[in-house]
Parts: sequence; C-alpha cells; structure tokens
Amino acid sequence: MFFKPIYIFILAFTIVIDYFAAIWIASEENKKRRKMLLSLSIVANVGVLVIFKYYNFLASNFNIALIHSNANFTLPLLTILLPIGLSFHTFQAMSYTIEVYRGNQQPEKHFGIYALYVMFYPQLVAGPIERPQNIIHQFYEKKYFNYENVRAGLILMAWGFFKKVVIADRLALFVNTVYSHPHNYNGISLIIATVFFSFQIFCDFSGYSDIAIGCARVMGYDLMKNFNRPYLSASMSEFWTRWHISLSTWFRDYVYIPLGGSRVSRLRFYFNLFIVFLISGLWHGANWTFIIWGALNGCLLVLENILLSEKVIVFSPKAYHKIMRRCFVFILATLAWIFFRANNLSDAWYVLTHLALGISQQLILIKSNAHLARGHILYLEQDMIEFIYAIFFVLVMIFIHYAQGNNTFLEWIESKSKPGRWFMYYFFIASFILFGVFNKSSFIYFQF
Amino acid sequence: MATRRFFKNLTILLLPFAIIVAFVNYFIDPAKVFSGDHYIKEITLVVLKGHNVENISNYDQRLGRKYFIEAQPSSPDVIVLGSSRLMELGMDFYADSNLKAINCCVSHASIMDIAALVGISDSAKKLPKKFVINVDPDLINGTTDEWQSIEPYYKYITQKFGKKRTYLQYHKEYFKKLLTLFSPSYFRAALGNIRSSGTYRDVGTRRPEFGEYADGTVCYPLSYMHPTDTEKIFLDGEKEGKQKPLNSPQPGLVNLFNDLLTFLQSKGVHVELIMIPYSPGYYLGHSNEKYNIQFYENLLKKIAVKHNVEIRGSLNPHTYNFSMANFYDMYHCNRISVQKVASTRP
Repeated sequence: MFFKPIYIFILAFTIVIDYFAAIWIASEENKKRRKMLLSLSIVANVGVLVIFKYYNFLASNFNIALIHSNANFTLPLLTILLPIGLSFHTFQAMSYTIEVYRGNQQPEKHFGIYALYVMFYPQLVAGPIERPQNIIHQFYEKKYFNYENVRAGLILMAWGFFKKVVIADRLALFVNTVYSHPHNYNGISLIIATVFFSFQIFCDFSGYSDIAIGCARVMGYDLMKNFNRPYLSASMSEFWTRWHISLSTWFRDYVYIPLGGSRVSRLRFYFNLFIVFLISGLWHGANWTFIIWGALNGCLLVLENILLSEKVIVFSPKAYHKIMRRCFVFILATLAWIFFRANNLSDAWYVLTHLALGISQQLILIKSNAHLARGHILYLEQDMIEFIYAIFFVLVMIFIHYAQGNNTFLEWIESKSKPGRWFMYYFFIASFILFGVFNKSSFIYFQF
Repeated sequence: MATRRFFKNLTILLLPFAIIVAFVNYFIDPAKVFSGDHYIKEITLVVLKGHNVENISNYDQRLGRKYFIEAQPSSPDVIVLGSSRLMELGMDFYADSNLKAINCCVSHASIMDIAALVGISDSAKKLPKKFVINVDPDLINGTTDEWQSIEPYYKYITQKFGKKRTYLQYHKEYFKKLLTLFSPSYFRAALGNIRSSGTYRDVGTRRPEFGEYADGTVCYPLSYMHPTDTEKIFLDGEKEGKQKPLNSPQPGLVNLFNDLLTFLQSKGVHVELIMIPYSPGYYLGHSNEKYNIQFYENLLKKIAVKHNVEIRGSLNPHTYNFSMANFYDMYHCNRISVQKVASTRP
C-alpha cells in the first residue's frame, strides 16, 4: 500500500461532480435533462473507475487481440496505482445521485455534509456501501457521549478484530502458502487451503465490516448490516442475501430491478440474474478470475431457480435436510471462491481439477508420516499447533453463529448474563493477545 | 455518570491484561530490552575470549557490534561491514593472508548503520587498515529504524565529514520501550522463553547451533544451510521481486555514502566494496523494473569508480553461473559462494 496525496483529487472530483449534479437534477423539471444530468454523473463516476481500475485490463486484452490479428500497433498501458476503496466510494456516490433522481432523497446543499457522506472514514475504504437516506440525516444530529452506543460499538469492534486478527490472518498463512504455488500441492492440501480461504475471506471482510460499523456506532452513527452469517444459508439465493449485503442490495436496486428484475419472461429473468453477477464479478477486480467467479455464481443462481421452478428440487423443512443443504451451499460457494483467490485462471483450473487427486495415497502418507508428510500435506508447511489453533477458532466462530439463532451478534451478547458477557469480553481480549497474528496484512477488500 | 461508568468498566476489563502483559514482558524480557546493556556486554566478553555463542538472536545486534569493536584489544586489520548477506565472511577467509578480521555486519543494514559503525571504530580509535563493505540496493534506497540504537555514532561521524548536510529526515522512536512493555507479540515471545532458556549460551570452540563465532561471523542452523526445496525458493524469490519493487535510490543516502568513502580515504583506510549476488528467482522478479538490480549494480560501480575504490562481485547471479544450489534463500548466498565472490579480483 502506498500513500499518494495527489489521489485525493480523484475523490474530490467525484464529490464535486455528484454534488452539483444532484442539485441540478433536483432543480430540473425537464425529464430528458434530468436523465442527461444523471447519465453525465454516472459516466463521470464510471469513467474514473474505468481509467484507474479497468483500463490496463481492457487494453492488455485488446492488445492480445491486436497481436492475433497481426496489427502493427498496441495500446499503451498506464503506470497508475488503484486508489484504495475506489469501487466502494464510487458506488456510494452513484447511489446518491440515483436516489436524488428517483426523488427518494433531497439533494444535500451543505457541501461538507455531502463530502462527509462519501468520505465517512469508517466505511470509506471497504464499505458498507451506504444509502443517502440512511446516513445523511445522521450527520445533522447532535452527538453526545452515549454509554450504550460506545459499549455496543466496542463489542462489535472486538468481534471484528477477533475474526480478522485471530482467524483470518492465521488462515491466510496456510492459504497463501498453497495458493502462491498451487502446483506443489494436490488433493487434501488443496481442499484444506480452499476451505480455509472460504473462512478467511468471510472473517476478513465481515471482520472489517464489524470494525467499521462498531467504530461508527461508538461515534453515534448507525451503518447498515453487511453480513448475516452467510455460511448458514440453505440456498445460493439466500447466500447472496446474507453476503456483502450492501453491495448485493446496491446491484438489486440499481441494476437488477431497472433491468426488469423477476417481473419479466423467465428467460429474461435468468439473463438479468446472470448479468448482475457478471458485473459483480467485474466490480471486484479487473481480472478474468473475478469475471469467471461472478459468472459462476450467476450460473449457480440461474440453475437453482430453474430447478426450483421446475420442481426438480423441493426444499424440505426437515432439520437434517436443512443441514445438508447448508453444507451443499457451503461447498458450492467454496468451489467458486477458488477463482476469486487464484492468481490466474490456469492456477484456478489446476486447483479445481486436482482437488480430488491423490487423496488415498496422501492418507497413507499422513498415517505413516513418511518424509514429514503431515507437515506438507496436512499442515501446509506450518506448525501443527498453528493448524490446531486455526481449526479451533473457526469452530468457535461457527459455534457463536449457531448460538446466535436469529439474533445479531450484539443481541446475542446482550442476552447473556453479566458473567457470561464478561467472559466473552475477556475471551476476545485474551485471544487477541495470545493468538492474534500481527503481520501487518491489510484487509482483502481494500484492493477493490 | 455514563462516562464514569464507561471508564470504570473499561479499566476493570483492560487493567488485568495490561498488568499481566507488562509484568511478563518486563521481567522475562526475551529480547533484553529492559535489562540494559550488561547482557550485551556479557556476550561480548565471551566472544572476546575466543568462544562461540548460541541462542543470541534476541538482542540488539547493533549495540553488540558497538561493544565488540570497542573491546577489541587492538585495531583489527579488516572490519567487514554490511548486511546479513555478508555475515559469513570472517577470519577463515583472511587467515591465509595472516590478517586479523572481524565481522560487524548487521541485519537489514543501511548506509546509516555503516556510517555509525565506522563512527564507533573511529571514536574508539580502532579504525582498521581495511574496511570490506557489502553494497547492495538496500544500502542507499531506504532504511529501517534499527540503526537508531547506535545513532550517536552516526551523528559523530557525519559531523566529522565537515559538511552541514541533512542526509535523512527520521523520526526518533521515543516510545519504543513503552510500546514493547505492552506488546502482545513480545508477551508471546516472553511466554515462549519461560519454557526454553532465553539467555545466550557460551559453547566454547564448538560450532553453535545458531549463533555467532568469535570473529563476529554468523553460524546458521544446518537445516537453513541445506534447503531441500530450491524450486520453491526460486519461485518465492521471483514473486517477492515482482510484488515488492525496489525503491529509487535516495539522493541523501547516496551523498552519505560518497562522504563516508571520502572520509575513509582521507584517513588512509583502504576500502573494498563487495556485491553479493541475489538468487536467480529474486533477480528475475525485479528484471522488468526501472530501478532493477542491474541499475543498482551500475550505480554502485559508478560510485566506486568516482572514488577510485576497488569493487568486487556482482549482484547478478549469472555473472558467476550461480544456480539455486548456491543459495540458502532468496537473498543469501551460501558461505562457499560468498568466499568465491570475495576472492575474485575485479
């Protein structure tokens, strides 16, 4: 990560454009002009994204096509850095002008308040992507020290830090070892690394969200919930209502519904679903791995909808069926994450095609521990104790998720007796001190 | 009321942890941060007896070097300075020429370290006949804050240059001890030390498992010296090279290097610069950058020519046909390869 002060002007550019665009849109009665102003604002925002995030990707792919067609020129590549959190604050800024256009939000006259809406620091770099209706009015409210808010905020932050520092960063040790050289591994090692990545990305991103929401809460601001225990989902559709909720609802409100949503022909509905996930993949990064990841999720959702509508599958309310469905959804989501994590498509394909290879031989090797096989296959070059810690803390998190029931984490903590609550507080701090991994790793979603 | 309640609860919550962490960190003190200089002096006395020591990774290496130079009975013939990449060059290499050599290399050496170590030997009147200095990009393109424990000697030597020049703006770490007192990582290291003895061991003339020989050269563990997966080291090096491009050279640090060479020449001290190759993977990983390893090799050679100083070796492994078999890891050449480079005439 680098600090380039000049990049503040990118943020300033979108803030100024959208601030004035919204005021003009609200004061303009001519529908065509309103639409034109909105389009200008969207083009300006998307333009910044394209230049900084997608230009090199598009140009390098275009250059490959040019080389294949024997053209004697290529597009130049830019040597620019991707500003941190660009996709997040661009989307937040866009939601403001769209809401003003739709008449759901009055244009904000106070430039400082509007700038604060885009730059509110707890969620500037990795969300949650807020809506103006939820947050702008809060900036006008006078804030005083509120014990309950501070306490709730700190509890959420502790939970977030626990997920990030104790779980995600520990799992990263295993995942990075394998995914940096996947060709050195197969079978059990790839399965462990891939499953670990599923938990790593959840703990990393939901950990950040909890820290951001908690930090805002300490100051008296309520941000929207971004995760709702997604790995307990019993269908892929449910998974996407529980994972990165602020982005999913953004795509729902500003892409999926304008495309017609589900109130169109079946074929068009499937197309809408697929295209939204394809764009979502592209939003995550300018790389074919993210596009395939998005497309794969789109296909899974389309397939699930087809099977449900044709009654090929019927969701049974029985408890063990639900557990099996949850496991199945977890496996599907985990397989899709391979594309998200792999450095390139060839690595992703290797992982996908070697997950089930050589397992029986590996089991024999692990049993005999020939040539330190356990260290290589099972513990992925880490200490056994690190492996045990990793599994233990993942199980602790799963246990807490189950114990929560339909409550939020905060509600669950509040429902405990005083000794129970204090035990949890001490547990988090002790885990942080004794088992935290402090290797200065940033949050995965900062790159988007 | 609410504020008071909040701070009361926060104190009840955090104070026990703060007390336990501070107590353990202070009294077990695995890196000897709080136990003062006597621990380092003890190690120096052992080494000066001609004994090897092991289990000394957790101490201020720079201060150790300071006492080591100051306690030399007479000026050595050769002092080897630089980073860990030249830490294995010592007495055995210079034995044939009958020279007394000590190795005062420090991990992550920057030009500030080199200047301060020269300052130490000058202030202790222990300037050698010859300084052998390991030069590489890290010397002049940035710095860590580790050199600040010998900062007075950096100031001492730069004043001797007779120029009112600011080489580097740096932030002094005033709260290092306080932060260490409450550091969770330090706490865990301290807990680990309860089980294994955290102090150095005088091993006489026996080979230490991981420690230091009497001439200041490092002795690595055998497992590190014989890596099994060299292909992985190659790939790791290439990845590291691609992910962490080299910084551009800093003019202030280059000036400091120039002034240091001028000073040593004015004192009649012979200077020999040595470039130790990086591993092929690491070299390859940097190859497409503007400020790649070859750029630095050319720059360092230019500086040497400007001062008419002998420069040996190369940062490029292919100059010596080195393969991964010549390396411990992506940065470090093995002992034999280092000696081969050091013995090659320019």
